[in-house]
Amino acid sequence: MRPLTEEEAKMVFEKLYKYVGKNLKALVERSDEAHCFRLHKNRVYYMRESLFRKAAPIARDNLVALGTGIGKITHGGKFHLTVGALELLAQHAKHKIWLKPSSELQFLYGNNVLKAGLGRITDNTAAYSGVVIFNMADVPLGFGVMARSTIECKTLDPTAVVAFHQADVGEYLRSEETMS
Amino acid sequence: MAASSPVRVSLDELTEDQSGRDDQIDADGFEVDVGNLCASDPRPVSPHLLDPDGLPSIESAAGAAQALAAALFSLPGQADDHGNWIVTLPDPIAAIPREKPLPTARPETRWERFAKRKGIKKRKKEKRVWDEEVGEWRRRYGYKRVGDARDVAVLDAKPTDEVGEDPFTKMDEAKKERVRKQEKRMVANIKSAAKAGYVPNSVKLSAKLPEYGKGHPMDRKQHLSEVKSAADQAGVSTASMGKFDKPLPGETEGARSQPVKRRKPIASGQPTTIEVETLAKMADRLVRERSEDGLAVGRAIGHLEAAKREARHREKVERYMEGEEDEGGRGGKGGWKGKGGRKGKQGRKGGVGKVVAKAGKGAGKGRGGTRRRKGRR
Repeated sequence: MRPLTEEEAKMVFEKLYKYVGKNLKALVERSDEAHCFRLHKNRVYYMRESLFRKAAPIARDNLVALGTGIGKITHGGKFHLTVGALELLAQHAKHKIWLKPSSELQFLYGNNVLKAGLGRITDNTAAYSGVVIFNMADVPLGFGVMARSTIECKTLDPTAVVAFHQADVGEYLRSEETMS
Repeated sequence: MAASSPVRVSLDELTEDQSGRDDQIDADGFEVDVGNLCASDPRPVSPHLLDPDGLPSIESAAGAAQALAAALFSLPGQADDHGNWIVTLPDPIAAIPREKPLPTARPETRWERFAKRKGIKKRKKEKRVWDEEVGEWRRRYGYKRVGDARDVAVLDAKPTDEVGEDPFTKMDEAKKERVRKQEKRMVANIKSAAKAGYVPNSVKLSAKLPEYGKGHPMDRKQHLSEVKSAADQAGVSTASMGKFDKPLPGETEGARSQPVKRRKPIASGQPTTIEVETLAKMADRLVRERSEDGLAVGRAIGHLEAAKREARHREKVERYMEGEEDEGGRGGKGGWKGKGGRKGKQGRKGGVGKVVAKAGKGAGKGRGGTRRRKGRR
């Protein structure tokens, strides 16, 4: 477990910025307790100060995970957000999509969001911007990337892809053994 | 303290030892073990002697320290050149446990397991044996051993011998085969021992096992990369660390690059507040750099357009009102007046343009937007 280097932190921030925009500052400077990012076995965790202080004396090999796992750094050196980041993103999301109840399950099996399943969408969402995906009861289901902008979405046919799937809560069941 | 080899001590022996050291208890009732520089108070502690934190009183500790000092200064010794009193400590009384665990036993070899199962016991044999034929003492095994088949010049023919086969070569080959088989068994034993976590110090895996290098043929690729890395290393092993060396003909730029420096984590070894500050600064910078991303350009253009349209409309209305007033006054010169009006309009348009230009980039884009929109319509 160690703090991120400057390059890593920049990578993480840039990715988070796509989803939360200016709210990124709220993630770093919190009013309740200092929160930090830590890297452990190529995974990035977000946690409060008291937690990583407690974890500091635990040997690297013995430590499985701590805090909220928000993503991982790949072999290629890129940063990927994982489902763990969903709570965080949902709280501060800039762009959101709400799914119709009929297409919730589709998405939870790892499929892209189609126009037919789109219930609501935030105004002025540009194409290829990061979105957090909710159901109509405002429960965060996952996140992804917009395939079209809000305006384009209005004229699309029902089978067209609106948002590309990146992560969803179904992963907790589907890929339980590969998560840590 | 005399350094002695580790001794295995049972718990009973240890407690016996502890009980039989009455002579080490001094006049004040403290147990002193000078060899270990240790003093303790063996008397039971009564609760009213404990301080509010539940710790034994400081007097007890002070007394123990005093007892140790007294015992130390009562030892025979002599002063050195600097006036320091030098004493030789007696052997320690308390047996202190060994720091490292006892070495584990070597796992049994395959033969040892087999022998145990069959009840085969090792028998000591003399190294030298009396050789009747030669009439002298000879080694049992090895060079010049008793009954070495190779010393025999003539061999008896056996019914199994085939014509054209040299029994001596056959014997040599059989010997080589036996040696090879034994080597295989040895490697297998070492491997299994290594798997169990036991490798004797005398064994170097790289010299014994094929996968660690023994007789392991390198493939061409490995050779190449090894030669290349050696050449790169040699390239930077000059006085200037390769900085001012001429590149060789055909050498690519940066081939003999320096080893990559490891990046340090943010604020490593510093308090969390500094780390948080650094992260906050980075986040700030990122947000500032991307602040334009948040602009809804389409909407902004719409606003500008609307403002312009309104201005134009107001003008029109004003002109209309003026025109009505004029018509009422002068009458006939409407055509000329109209021209003048247009001129005036152009001038005013320029004025509006200026105002928009102050708003910056948006103005130019706004115009483009208008044109596109008109085209679409």
